[in-house]
This record gives sequence, structure tokens and C-alpha cells, in this order.
Amino acid sequence: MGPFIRSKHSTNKIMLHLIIALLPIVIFSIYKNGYIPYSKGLISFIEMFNPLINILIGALTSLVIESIYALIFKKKNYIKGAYAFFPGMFLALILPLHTPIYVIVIGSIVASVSKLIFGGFGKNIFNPALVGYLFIILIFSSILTTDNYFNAYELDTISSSTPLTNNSMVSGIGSYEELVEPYGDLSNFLIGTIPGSLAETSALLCIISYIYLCATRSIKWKIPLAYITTVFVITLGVGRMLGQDLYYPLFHILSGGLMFGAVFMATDPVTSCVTPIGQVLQGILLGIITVIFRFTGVEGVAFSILIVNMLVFVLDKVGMSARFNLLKSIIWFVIAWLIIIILTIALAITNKTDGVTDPDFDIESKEKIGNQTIYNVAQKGYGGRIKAQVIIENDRITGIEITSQHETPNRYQLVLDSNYINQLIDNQDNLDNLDTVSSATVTSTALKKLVSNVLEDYKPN
Amino acid sequence: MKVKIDKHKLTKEELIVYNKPKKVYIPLISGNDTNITILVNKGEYVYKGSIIAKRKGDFRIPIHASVSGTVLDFEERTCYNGDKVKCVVIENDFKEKIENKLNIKKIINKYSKEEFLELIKENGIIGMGGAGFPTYVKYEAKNIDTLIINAVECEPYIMADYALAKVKCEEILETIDAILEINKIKEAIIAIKKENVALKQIFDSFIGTYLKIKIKLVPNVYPMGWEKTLVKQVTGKDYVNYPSEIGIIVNNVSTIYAIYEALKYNKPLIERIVTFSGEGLKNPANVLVKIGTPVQEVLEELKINENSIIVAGGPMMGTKVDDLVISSNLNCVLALKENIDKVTACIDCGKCVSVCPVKLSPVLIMKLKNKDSKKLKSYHPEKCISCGLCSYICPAKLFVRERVSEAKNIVRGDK
Repeated sequence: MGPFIRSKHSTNKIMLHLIIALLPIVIFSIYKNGYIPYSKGLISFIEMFNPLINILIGALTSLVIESIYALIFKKKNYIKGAYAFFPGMFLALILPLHTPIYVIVIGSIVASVSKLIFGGFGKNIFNPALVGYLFIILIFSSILTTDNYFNAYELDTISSSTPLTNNSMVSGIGSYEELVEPYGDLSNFLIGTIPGSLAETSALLCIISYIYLCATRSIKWKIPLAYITTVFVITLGVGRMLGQDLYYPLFHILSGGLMFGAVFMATDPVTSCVTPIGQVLQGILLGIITVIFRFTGVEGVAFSILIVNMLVFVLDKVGMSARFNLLKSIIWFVIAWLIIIILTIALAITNKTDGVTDPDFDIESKEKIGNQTIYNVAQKGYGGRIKAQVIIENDRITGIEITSQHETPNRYQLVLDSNYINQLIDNQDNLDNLDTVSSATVTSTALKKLVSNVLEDYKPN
Repeated sequence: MKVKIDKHKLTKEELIVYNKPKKVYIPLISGNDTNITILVNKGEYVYKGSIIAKRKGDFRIPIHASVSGTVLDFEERTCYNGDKVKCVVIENDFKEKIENKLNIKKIINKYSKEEFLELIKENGIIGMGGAGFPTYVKYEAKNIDTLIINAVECEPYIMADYALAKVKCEEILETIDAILEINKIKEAIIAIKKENVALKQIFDSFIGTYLKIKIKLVPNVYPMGWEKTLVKQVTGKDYVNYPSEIGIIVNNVSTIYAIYEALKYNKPLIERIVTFSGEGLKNPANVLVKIGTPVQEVLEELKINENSIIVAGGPMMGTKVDDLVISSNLNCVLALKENIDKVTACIDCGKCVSVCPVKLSPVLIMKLKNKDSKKLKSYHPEKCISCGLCSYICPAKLFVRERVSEAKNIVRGDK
């Protein structure tokens, strides 16, 4: 059967290019999360290679899982062409530096199994790494708190949350001082010297990888372009309406997992559209959903990609008929998406006044289990940030536990001795009348603010 | 995405003649139609150029003997599309005797349109680029204002038209000019691939006196030689079924030369130039062969390696065959090494979608479960022109075109 000549493209080469494109990102991660803290004497020589170890463990776990699968189902040649290490490897890349090894292993197992359930390589509907990521968020939510994202050097130098947790604090809209300043300026976002998961911080390296992958024709280039453009356009519009400068859309496209997700995760060939129009529609839809997530306070790149994975089939159907009759096929999509974009912008604007506006206060995580809500928060005290876990049960604070603080020791002891924390719980409806601890005013005031901020977030108004 | 395919040109440019077949097997096929009336009997003596069969139906094109000799038998032989086709076997007496023919005018532009149509019909001129569509039918269309000469040969290896144009350039230009005059067509455009500068130079040296003939260079992409792509590239216009809808006729170079011989010598289409090439041949060449020649003889003459596979047609659209006889629309025979690329799983890279010249989505057709014609219709597999680009580009080395062809047959069978 013909043709009797074939192009030089091969699946192997595509995967090889993908790995080459990832290399600079991995090296940068080792440099940022390993070499810099090591050179400051904050971690040991071995710890310097923690990023690499995470990645290798993820990759190895996935490889083992798929090998077992191949053995059980007696698929002799399956493993050769399955590129089995990718799910775990990608998962490790989008997890924080301080993710415990067992979490990486479990996540990678989930990732690989999610691929095998559909019949293995080439047949899965959902991006395997992101399924693993979703699983970790649901089961080990405490892993994805701010502290784990910070390497040893950043813990010392930056006193705020990772850029997008910061963003979510202000419900999508923040000022330059809130969003960017804690990390220097936007050039740090571009280069990647900001806290974040292993591979996601350097937008510049993602762009370089994107160009490399385009040049080697190993990527569905329309998806990242449509995705990032959409996020840029919507956030530019929102920013303009709220009187923000150009920094605002730039912050959005350079921060969080957007660049890495757009270039490496949204373009996973198996789980993305095959038709050109489908790919453009996919990118735009990803952009819209991501922005909606961000305006409601969640970094939504991973979720957006998983949601759109389910719609790939439909988008390709549209993309296919659009090849024969472009206008007729996509007109409804265009109309529907314009409406969604307008609603998104409306959402952003109405959300502006919501939420807690104290710049000294951060919500690192918020988890609802039944009638219980657990807050992990931080409030600026006298000597840096006071971190606490606040438990709300049946709409009342039932417990406050200080998880870390750098207050002056004897003053902090004074606060503890005066049973101030229990007083805060007892007087939570009447905080204004609660006196601060004398000789430890700053610390006790910070704690009071912390509680009132939690309450404000829990019950706005 | 436009696809440029490496040239793979091995053929030395000179033209050689192979006229030694002891027997010829004239295939009873015209285009794709095998509904042919045989007009000779076993044991009958035929002259070179005698009509031995005629197509039934609307296009009553005759088929001619390519040698003089005795009709031995009727045998099935493999033809250009890989199908077994009934052939008239003629034993060559090497006398090259021809029947007495009526005196004809030797000045080729002095024919009336009716005489012109009659001549090209009776001499069995059909499209020699692949489809084998009767040429006279194209010229029966009204309101034609442009003649496009397809000298593109976009498939790798093939250079039969190039070899012909090199030696018969003057005759070809003269014929184009005559066709324009007889059919009152305003202009002719010779389409040549950009990389074939040498061919353009050959035409350039004669074209000065033909004001109505222009040369247009077209990009080196595949399938530029496909009629629809070529017409779009040259004129910017689209059509639905036939280029005559928008006043255009497309002929390839070999066809034009066959018209020349019909007009000048009343000579039927009984021989053509075929590219014999591929890694499996020691001496690849462009060969002037008689219709009905068994290719095995020519391949042995050109020293074919053992273990080569034989391909009828170009490397993209051709068919693997065991034996093969030359037909008038066969422009290439390849001897190649068997393709041993390992097939892997489809990763939905979408390359087959982006290269398809008729805008199909091959991967979606391929992956469709329960292929019933109702479902398939919205995928339009019937538009497939079998160019093979989807299989060519596939990084998993899948036989994508074959899957699309199956879908095409399902949909066509339903109609």
C-alpha cells in the first residue's frame, strides 16, 4: 500500500522534541529551586537536586505502572511506543517543590491509571498528568499551600503568597502593589524568579520552548496562541474598565500555570483537537474558562484544560464542518462565546468590591468539609507573617492554631499567657470591644485583625 | 499547510527507446472504464495503428494496436490501477506496418474545429496524466477561454513530461498555438514547477513568437499537479466538477504531443514516455514505450535489483503491482525497496487534517467507530482524491489514505 515514500516525521521525534523543549525549564528549576538556595547556604548539596528527583520519581512511577499493565494484559510491544513516563513527569513539573515523595508517587499512579482506563497510549480523553493533579488537590489539598511552593531562599526573602494565590485573595482584581510588587516587577514573572511549581514560573522559557516546538512542527501551535491571546484580551478589557494599566493583562498571562499549561498541557496531542478550527476554538474556550476561574478566585489552568478535554470531540466536529463551510459552522460558537466573555467581564467587575481588602492579610487555603470550613491564613505581625489555621464550624470560629510566627518571643509569650486566643474565639461577634494585650499590642492587634479578616471573608458584609 | 516533498529524482535526463516487445498486451480499458467492444478475432493480422477495440457508452474512443502482427489471444493482465484487465495479445512481427490512411493536411492549424475533434477522437487521445479522460470531450465544451498546460509533475521521481518537453519543445508550442487558433481560445498558460527552471528555460528560448502562450511558475508543493489545485493556483478560480465550468481546459504535456502527432501524422496514441525510476533500478531512465509493453522486460533492460517492489504510477498515488502492462495514462513505473517503517499508535497530532488538499479530516474518519454511510456523510470522504498526503505526513506511519478510501467506498456504495 502506498504512498511508497513517507515524511521524516515520526512519533518518536515529536516526543524527543518535547523533551528537548522541557530541558531548559527543568534546568532553570534546578537553578532557581536548588542552586540559589544552595549558594546561600540554605540547603545541602543533595537537596539542590530535589526538583530533578521529583521529576524522576514521577516519571519512574508512571513507567512502572504502565509496565505492570503491559505485563498483566500481555501487551508485549505496548511499552515501547507508549511514552509511559510522560504523565508522572508532567505531574511532578506542575507540583510544588516541597511535595512529599509519596504524594508524587500516588499522583503519578492516578495519572497513569487514568490513561490506561481508556485503553492506554493514544486513547485517553483526559490529560493524565492533570487528572493526577486534580486528585492531589482533592485528597491532599494541604500540599498545595503557599509554603510548599516556596524554596528556601524565597521563604527568606518574599513575605507573600505565590502570585496566583495572591491574585485569588483579591478575587481576580488587584492593584500593582498587591499583585506584582511583592516579587519585584514583571520582569521577574517573565524570567521566572518568582515562587511557583517546578516548571511553571518562567514564562520566557515556555515561550522559547513554544518557538522551538513550532519550528520542529511538533506542536498544535494554534492552541497556545488562541489560549493566551484570549486571556490577554479579556484581562486587558477588564483591567481597562477598572482603571488598571497594561501590567494587569501581562500579570495574568505571565503568572500561574498559564504559559506552561498552554504550551505543554493544552497541546497534549491525544487530548486536544485535530482540526485547525477546532484548535482555535479550543484555545479560546480555554482562555475564557481560565479567566472565569481566576476571577472567582481559583487558578484554573488545570481545571480549564480538563473541562475542555471533555469537549474536544464536539469542537472537532465543528472544526471538521468548518473546513467545508466556515461561517455556518462557527457562527453560533462565536455568538455564544461573545456572551460568555461579556458575562465574565461583568463577573470580574462585580467581584471587585467583594472579599477582604486588608493588604497585610492572605488566605492560603480555604477548605469546606461538611459544616466545617478550615482556613489557612497569614497576617502581617511585628516580625513577619503570623500563620494560623482557623476552623469555622456552624458559622462560628471554634479553633485557632498558630502554625508559624516570628514575633518577639517574650511578647508572644505574653499573648499566650493572657489566653488571648481563646478570648478572640469567645468574643468573635464583638471584636471591636476586645482589648489588646498590653506590652504586646502589635502582635495581639494582628491576631485580632486575622480573626476579623477570616470572618469577613467567611461572611462578607 | 503546503507540503513540499523531496525530489527523489534519479532518472538521467536522456530519453531512451524500448521497441523490442515480442508481444504486446493492449489493455482494454479507457480511463476507468472496461466496458469495451473487441473488434478483432484471434489469429487476425493487425497493422500498427489499427483499431482493435472501441469503448462503449458515451465516449466512443477507439483503442489501437501498437505493433503490427497477429492477434494471439485475450489475456488478463495487471493495469495501472492494480486491477486485472482483459488485454489483446498481439505478437510483434517487428515490421511496423501501417494501414493506408487518407491524405491529411500537414499544416496543423488549418483544421476546422470539427476536423480537429474528429482527429483527436479517432486517434484515441486521452488525458495522459492519470485519469485518462477523453480529450475530445474537453474540447467540445463551449466558451473556453484558457488552456492550461500541466507540466507540473508534482509527484517525486516522475519526469516523463519533462523528458518529452526537452526534445519536443517546438512541436509542443506549435500544437498549443494550433489548438488556440482552431478552438478560438484566447490564451494558453504553461504551468511549470519553480524548481524545474531548466524546463522553463527550454520553453523560453522558443516562446517569443507565440504571443498567446505564457509560462507560469507554480510552487514546489504537492499536489500542485492536481487539476483543481493547479487551476486555483494559476487563475485563482474554483470549480465544482470540471474546469470547463469556468472556461478552462487542462491538458498535460504528453497529451499535447499526442494531439500534435494526431494532427500532423494522423497517428493514434500507441506509445508514450514513461519514467522508470526508483532505488531498485541500476539505470533509471525515461523510456519511450509502446502501449501494451510488459514492464518486466523494460525493468530487466534497466537492471532491476532483486527484492524490489514494482509500483505503477508515482510514489504517492501509485499502486504496488506484481506485473504490469503499459497503458496510455501510465506515466511512471517505480522499482522500490519495501517500506519497512514501523506503524505506531495514532497520537491525534492532526497533521493529516492540516495537509489534506480537499479539507477532509482523515484522522476523524479513521477513528470513527461503526462506519455506516449515514454517519460518514458529514465527513465527506467521497471528496478524497487519493493523493496520499495523509499517509505521507503521518508520524505514526499509519495507512490513513486506505482508511479514508474505505469510508469513501461505503459512502459511494450507498448513493
